Amino acid sequence: MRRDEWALTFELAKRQFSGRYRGSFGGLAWSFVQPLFLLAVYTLAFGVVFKTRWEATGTADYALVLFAGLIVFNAFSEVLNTAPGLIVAHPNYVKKVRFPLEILPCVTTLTALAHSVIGVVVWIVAHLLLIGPPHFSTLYFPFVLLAFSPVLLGIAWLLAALGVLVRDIAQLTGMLAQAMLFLTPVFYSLEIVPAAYREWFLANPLTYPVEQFRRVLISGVAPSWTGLVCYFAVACAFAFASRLLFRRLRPIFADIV
Amino acid sequence: MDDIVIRARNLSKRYLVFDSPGMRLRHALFGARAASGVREVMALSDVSFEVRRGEAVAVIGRNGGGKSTLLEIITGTLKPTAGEVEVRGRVSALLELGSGFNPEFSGRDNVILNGMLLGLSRSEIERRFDEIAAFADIGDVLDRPVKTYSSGMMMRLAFAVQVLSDPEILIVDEALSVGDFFFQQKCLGYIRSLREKGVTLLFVSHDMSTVRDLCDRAVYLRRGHLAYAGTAGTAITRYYAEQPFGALLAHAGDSQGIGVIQDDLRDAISHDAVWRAHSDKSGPAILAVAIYDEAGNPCMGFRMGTAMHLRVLYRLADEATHVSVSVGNKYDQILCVLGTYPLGLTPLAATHVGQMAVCDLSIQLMIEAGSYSLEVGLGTRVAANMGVKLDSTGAFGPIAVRWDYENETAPFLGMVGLPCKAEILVVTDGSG
Repeated sequence: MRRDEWALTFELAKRQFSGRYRGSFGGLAWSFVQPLFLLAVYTLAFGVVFKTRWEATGTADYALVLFAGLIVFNAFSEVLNTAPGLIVAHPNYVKKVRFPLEILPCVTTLTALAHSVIGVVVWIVAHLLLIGPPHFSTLYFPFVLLAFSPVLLGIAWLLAALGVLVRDIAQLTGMLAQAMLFLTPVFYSLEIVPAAYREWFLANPLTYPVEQFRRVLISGVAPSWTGLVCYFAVACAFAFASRLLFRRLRPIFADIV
Repeated sequence: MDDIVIRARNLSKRYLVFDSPGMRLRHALFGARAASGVREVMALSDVSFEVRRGEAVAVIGRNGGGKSTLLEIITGTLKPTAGEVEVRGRVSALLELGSGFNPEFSGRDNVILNGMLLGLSRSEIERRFDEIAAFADIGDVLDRPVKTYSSGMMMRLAFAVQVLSDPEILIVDEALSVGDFFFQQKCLGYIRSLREKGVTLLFVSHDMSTVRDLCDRAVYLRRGHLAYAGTAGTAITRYYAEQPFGALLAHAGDSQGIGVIQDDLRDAISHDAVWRAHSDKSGPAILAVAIYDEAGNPCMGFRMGTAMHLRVLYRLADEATHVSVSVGNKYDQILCVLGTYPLGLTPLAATHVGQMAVCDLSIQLMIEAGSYSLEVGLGTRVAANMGVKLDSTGAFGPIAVRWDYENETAPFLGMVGLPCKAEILVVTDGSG
């Protein structure tokens, strides 16, 4: 990416981030309230009603464990839900101005990551209030997000390009996001998944970052560096392939949108 | 020579129309052999021309002629199917009103983003911001979201960003027709000054007087083909000579205002029709009515005082068949009934069963700005000013007649502009 494209990506992400709540009374506070509200609901349903426990801890701990996993998952679902409509929603960018369309998926990824960082801030505050100072290893969380980000980018490029050609994709991603919420070990740990299915769960690209995220936030252990590097490498390959496809399909966007 | 900044060589653009979205995907991924059910539409075929530095070139032609496609290819938003285009220098394009704007962002944010899209850095934009704001001259609304802007305000801002971003080549597609007269003046004045600075201008317009004033050369496109490239004057003459109304209405002075119908004309009317017969009635009937503006573009909105061209396709009766048009106002009162009978034209009668005819009417809209309904009827005369109605379209429309009463002197005030002549004479007293 050229330097001016970076600058544009950054400007757009900044505006998308602050623009999301523009015109609402709550403003940026919604970025904090929404995850907290969902967290409360999930904690009530799974922690209090179902009495799911994470290695014999209390409800407050369960809420925080849950939240840690949700931060990663929400970034994924945000990208999944926005990406298919990215190009379709900006026909002007395709036809009427010379616009580096490739950066739109980057903007989405950047915004999703920014929301994750806010999520972590909320998590730290909650931890301080409910339990006490979080683990030192919490500071490693950016590395986990970094390793995860090519996956987000790859999904964004892939779905943004395919979403132009196959409008049905937007319908599918909503379903997929719902399903993934329960198929990823967010509400439960990987250990309680029956051994026969565990490999399938490991094949889910979300499982690894969710587990690593909890490792640094909850268990207080540094992430598995070799694991992260391997994950990052595969993720980059995926992102690269998606970008290739995006570039391949780019010339025909203008004929369709 | 190196003075050439735009060089288009054998440009063609073919749009593929697919029967199903699945085929489109297969075509995109695996190439033409993998897909079936594909039709081709040529928007541009084999267009070549060159533009030198500092020239102002107009692109003219009827709707669907390929003008926008050509501009989009030169801007770089569209890829040509064949041929190549070489563009040297920073291009600034106004292809559509506020096209690069995000409606949710404020005007200020959009100026910054648009400037960055044009390749300026943030600091460059900030330095020029006041100049841009002053040129757009829209005041405090600059901090409100663009979606709340009127089209005039959006136009002003878009134009300000584009022209002040220091383009080397400026491409303008009809956008100027939106702003009010004074802003248009300002824009055209600014474009003129840009020309003096050596900026190259590529300009699409239906307004031939602007083309004549601003451009020295013109490219005339007809159905995707280059019909003429050369001096603006010649191009404009050709353009007018090939207007669809030139041919038919040229007869209007004769006793016979009705020409011989051709198949492609019939198809054109059916294609452009704003009213069509629902069922295939036999016998005398109105089949389709199309409405055009003076330039021959299908149109439902007119500037007050300009001519509205109605083209009626109908099937003749055995007796002489007259065509009439009534214009109704918003209170459902008939303002005026016009047609071949009051004009004194000799009507046609069918020489064989099912014979069709076309009637062209040119109506000068000397009526107050507002909405009007139309009704087209067929009839035969039985006595002076009396007839038998054979068929009628019923009221359809409305057409809009517009006038900017705030900024432009109206040719008349009140409901209708009656034909009027005036003279002023000075009275001299005997002593002088």
